Amino acid sequence: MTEAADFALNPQLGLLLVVLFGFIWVAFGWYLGRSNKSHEDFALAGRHVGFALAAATAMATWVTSNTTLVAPQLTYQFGVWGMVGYSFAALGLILFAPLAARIKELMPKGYTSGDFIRLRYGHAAWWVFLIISVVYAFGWLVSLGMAGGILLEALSGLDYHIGMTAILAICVGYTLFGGLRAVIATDFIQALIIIIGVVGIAWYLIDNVSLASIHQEVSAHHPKLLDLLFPAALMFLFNNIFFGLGEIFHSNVWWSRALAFRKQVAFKAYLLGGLLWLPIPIVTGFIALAAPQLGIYPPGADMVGPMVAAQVLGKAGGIIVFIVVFSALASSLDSLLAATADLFTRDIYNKKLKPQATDGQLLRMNRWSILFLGVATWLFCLPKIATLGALLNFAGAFVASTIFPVVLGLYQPKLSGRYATAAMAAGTLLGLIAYFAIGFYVAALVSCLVSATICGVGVWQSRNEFSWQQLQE
Amino acid sequence: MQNRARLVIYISLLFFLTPLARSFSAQSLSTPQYHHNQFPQLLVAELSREGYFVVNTDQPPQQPLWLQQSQFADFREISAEYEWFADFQSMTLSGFADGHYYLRLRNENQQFSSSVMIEVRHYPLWQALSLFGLGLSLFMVLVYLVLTLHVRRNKDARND
Repeated sequence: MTEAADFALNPQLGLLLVVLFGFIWVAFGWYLGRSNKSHEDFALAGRHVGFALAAATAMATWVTSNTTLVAPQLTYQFGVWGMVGYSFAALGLILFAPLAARIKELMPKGYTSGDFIRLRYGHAAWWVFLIISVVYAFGWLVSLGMAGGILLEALSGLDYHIGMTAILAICVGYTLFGGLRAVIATDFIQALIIIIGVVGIAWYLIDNVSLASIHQEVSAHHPKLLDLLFPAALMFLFNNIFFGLGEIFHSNVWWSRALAFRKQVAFKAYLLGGLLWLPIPIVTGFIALAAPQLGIYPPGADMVGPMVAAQVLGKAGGIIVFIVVFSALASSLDSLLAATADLFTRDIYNKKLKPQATDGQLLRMNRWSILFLGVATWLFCLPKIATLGALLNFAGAFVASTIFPVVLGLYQPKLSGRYATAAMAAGTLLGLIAYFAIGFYVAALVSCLVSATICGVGVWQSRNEFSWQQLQE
Repeated sequence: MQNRARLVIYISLLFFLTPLARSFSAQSLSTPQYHHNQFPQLLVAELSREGYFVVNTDQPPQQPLWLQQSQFADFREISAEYEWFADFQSMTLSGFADGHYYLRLRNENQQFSSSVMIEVRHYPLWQALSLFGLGLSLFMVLVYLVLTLHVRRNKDARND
């Protein structure tokens, strides 16, 4: 059955948009990358990022497949709680604001979150942390690559593999040329596109499909979506919050930004970024509630957002949705590529394999790492192994175990490396057991709870105090 | 060289770990009672604990189709009808209350496929509220910790 009419865009237009989009971003990345003279320029944008760019990159990086595809997905699955609960992920950015200021204060010359864990807690904790970081980074990278494929498939019927390959190639291209400078600059533009696009789509939707009719249809045929005592949604809520907190607190994506921002900027930038981000999942999630009223029942729950927006807005809307969601995906994918490549370059290559590496060698290694990550992500994306939500929630068991070790590590000198290592390892392990034995909605919660308990015992039992001077490497 | 070999082994292990992610609800697929040749075979989980589920077909639909839903096995009353999207092999439905739901496909000629049944049985509310309370308590501890440690640090910095 050929149902081209069911798609907002025809495949040729979809392809044309991808090529056009790709060319603009890669050329922009190349243009920005001309001023990169050293590895520090490439990896940390010279450590002089100002407030406007800093707030925009914090917000844009957090607007990702999570908000543009998974927020509607979770609203479609969990109703009102899915929408509101998802917006609580902004708490991650808001609570990271004081931590970012502390990171900049403790490690003005630091490079990565791995640096901090190694110096603060020692090598055993560093290995556990590195495993968590790599699993998470690949989970997120793969989910972003998959989201690109799903987006194009939902809008134009173009094969999943084409969209997935395109977004990976574009992001690897401009990150390779421009480093963090290009990532932050493109994030700024992408943030503007995302805010204007998302607000515009929601405005148009409310104007054309009345709130009363949406409420009537959902109440009649999908009553649980409006039920505030929806059991699965209640269980999901705090799990999602801890997952979001773990993602931000541990990830080098956020640490590298804190280190790249000017002094005094980090706190304000993360706070504003979080506040700007807060309403976005509400808006994108709301779009999903209109699906039943419009007669849209998506093949996969993660396709519901683009399908609704494209149906309401027609072909022009399809193009707008494409640009907004592609921007959101690119703004996260580039950040993650850059930050994970930093982690490989600094923590593994420079610290373990070649301590005497020159600045030029580090720069080259950083670029090779970006390329390697891009290719590895592409390979993982090929089989479309799980839904986006499932893939992300799997990583929740890993990252939530780092929340308390990171917070206490930054402020509390009594927590030792032994307890921090045990907290992260046991938290992850029990979180994974909970994920498989009970369900995705308890993985991050169990992981964080176990880790917090071990950290609490560690502080209580400790006889020694860490000297903050040891962080100055 | 030893470090390099260890590194390769660790990274290889991680590569195998990530694809272990599974879909939201591990659900076993029920077998339909019978099916007509002109329709693809419907496949759906036997039980949903979250009020949403995915209806699959064993092959891409070759004609416009609608999915009919009824609470009766003989479909004497149709409670909802959903238009199948293009030639995708799945449809996701959500927001269902506890109950048994029968599903079948209809084509333009008013012919019907065999039916499948799914039971929606939500988790008990006490279990959901317990996890909610546990999460809320832990979250409050974390917020209190971050705020007090940050304020104390700022005070110390001013005194130094």
